[in-house]
Amino acid sequence: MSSPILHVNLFVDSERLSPAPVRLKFIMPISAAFLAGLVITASFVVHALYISAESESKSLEIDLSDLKPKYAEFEKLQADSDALEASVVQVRCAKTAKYPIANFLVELAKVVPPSIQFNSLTYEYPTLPRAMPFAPEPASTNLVEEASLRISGRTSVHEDIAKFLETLQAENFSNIVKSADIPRGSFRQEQRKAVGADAGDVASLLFEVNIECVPRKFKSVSAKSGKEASK
Amino acid sequence: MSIVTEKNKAKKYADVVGLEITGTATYAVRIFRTPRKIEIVSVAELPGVQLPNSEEEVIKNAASVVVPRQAAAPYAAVAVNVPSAIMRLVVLKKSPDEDADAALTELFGTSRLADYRIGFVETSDPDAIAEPEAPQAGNDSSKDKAPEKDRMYIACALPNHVAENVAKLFPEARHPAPASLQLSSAARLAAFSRGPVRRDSTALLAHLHVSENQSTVAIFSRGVLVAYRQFPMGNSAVASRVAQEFGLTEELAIEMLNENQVDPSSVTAPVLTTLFRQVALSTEFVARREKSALSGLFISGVTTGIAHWLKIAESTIQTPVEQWLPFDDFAVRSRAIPRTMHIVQEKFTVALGAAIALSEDPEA
Repeated sequence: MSSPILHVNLFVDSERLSPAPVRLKFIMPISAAFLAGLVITASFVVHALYISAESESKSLEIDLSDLKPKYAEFEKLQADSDALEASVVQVRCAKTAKYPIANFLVELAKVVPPSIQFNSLTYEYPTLPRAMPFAPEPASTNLVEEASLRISGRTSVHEDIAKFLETLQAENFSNIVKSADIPRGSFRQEQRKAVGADAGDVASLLFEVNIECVPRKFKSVSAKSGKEASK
Repeated sequence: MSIVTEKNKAKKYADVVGLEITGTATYAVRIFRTPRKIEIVSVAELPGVQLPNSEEEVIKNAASVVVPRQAAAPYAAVAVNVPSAIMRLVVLKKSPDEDADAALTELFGTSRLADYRIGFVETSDPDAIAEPEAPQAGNDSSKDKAPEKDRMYIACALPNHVAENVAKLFPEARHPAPASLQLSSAARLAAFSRGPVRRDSTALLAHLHVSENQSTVAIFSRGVLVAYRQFPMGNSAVASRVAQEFGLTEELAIEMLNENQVDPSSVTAPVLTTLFRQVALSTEFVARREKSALSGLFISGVTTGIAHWLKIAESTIQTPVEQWLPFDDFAVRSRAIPRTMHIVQEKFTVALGAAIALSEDPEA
């Protein structure tokens, strides 16, 4: 028969120690306290960050509401600035595309036969539609502008009209005139009294000439080159 | 940090120091247990520690037990003996877990004592209990229920304040760490059960331990403790009788008895014969019950002339009697025990038993 060992241990579990220098019963509470402290600190930090971010967000919202009218004003100014800049560019372009109209008129006066009298000379160019009646005229953004001249006059010698038309289409006016023609139905007979007391009625012919001008070509030039060009 | 698994559980208490704490000295025995043997590694005698006698008595002795390095095993099994401690061999129908009330009545009697720490251990191997006999034909009641057998338990009780004080005696995080608290009388039985009882595990053996004012006899049958008796007579009764007869002080009387200067038989015989007759009555009773004969009586703790005790014991009990020297039953590492301590090895019996009890307890 085996002999059981007569061991009656009167220590309770908490009194039985471990010889290890690091005790679980010390490490566990310390670790638990450290973890709890870490969690509490982390929650405080997160809470503080949240509050800080929240207040910053509120202040930014306030700043944004302050900035909104200023920004709208800025946008308006920016648009005006863009429009003005575009106008300036257009003006520079127009400067490079200007017609030598004065020379044309001088040369025209030389070639008009004596029998022809001008009633009117109209230069027509396309106009852009206006959005607002009182808004400033917008600058054209077209690179090419079609233009035309309309001459209305009278003559007593209808052969001179044909000569005048030929002269216009000659090489001297090629820098302005692309084509010239007399629209159908534009000839009309006119009866008028001659100048003088004993003068009788004079029969003359009213006519119109349409001149299609060479298109104005706008070149985009830089501000610098524009300035140089103006010099 | 160490994690105890089933695999290393057996190794956990292989290296243990047993400590018997008394008011005059602390006795330390370090053992190392292997599957084949128990080896005594070191012994030491340290300063005594005063334990509180009552709950009101406050003794500041915290961390006062410092074990020298050679005896400082990882774990310590501590044994104490205070007047208020109680140890009895009780017979119960059910285990103390099942019927605590009956167990406490057996331990304390009618006067229940509060604030005690109590422990029980069955003396016989529960797995070795014989199968109940087959029920008789027609006995219907025995069909449902097996007859309850008496079971013997060693019951120990120690005041709480003493146990709490002992727990504080050891500095923390140093070797040894207190792992077991036992009563000195129980630890002594553990040492004997792993000494002469294991040596002759089929015999009926008795152990008589003589202390200052009382003697205890423990009887083991086939390795199991089957009887435990106390007698109110110890070394002081013999010493005072001799001192009275020869007109000496008790110290001189003890010295005279140990040096065999005179034959004190005529003086000591009446005292010792009375004691041994009571011991004989106990052993004979157990021998009849166990249907066996006493094979031997081992005596320990005698400080008043062991030779006279052995002589009178043999003549009274009519059985081989010898002095029990605890170290004789165990392997001893060379130079583990100084010569001076080998002579007084009986003093280390309790410390040795406490260490063995912790080391061999599979449930510790």
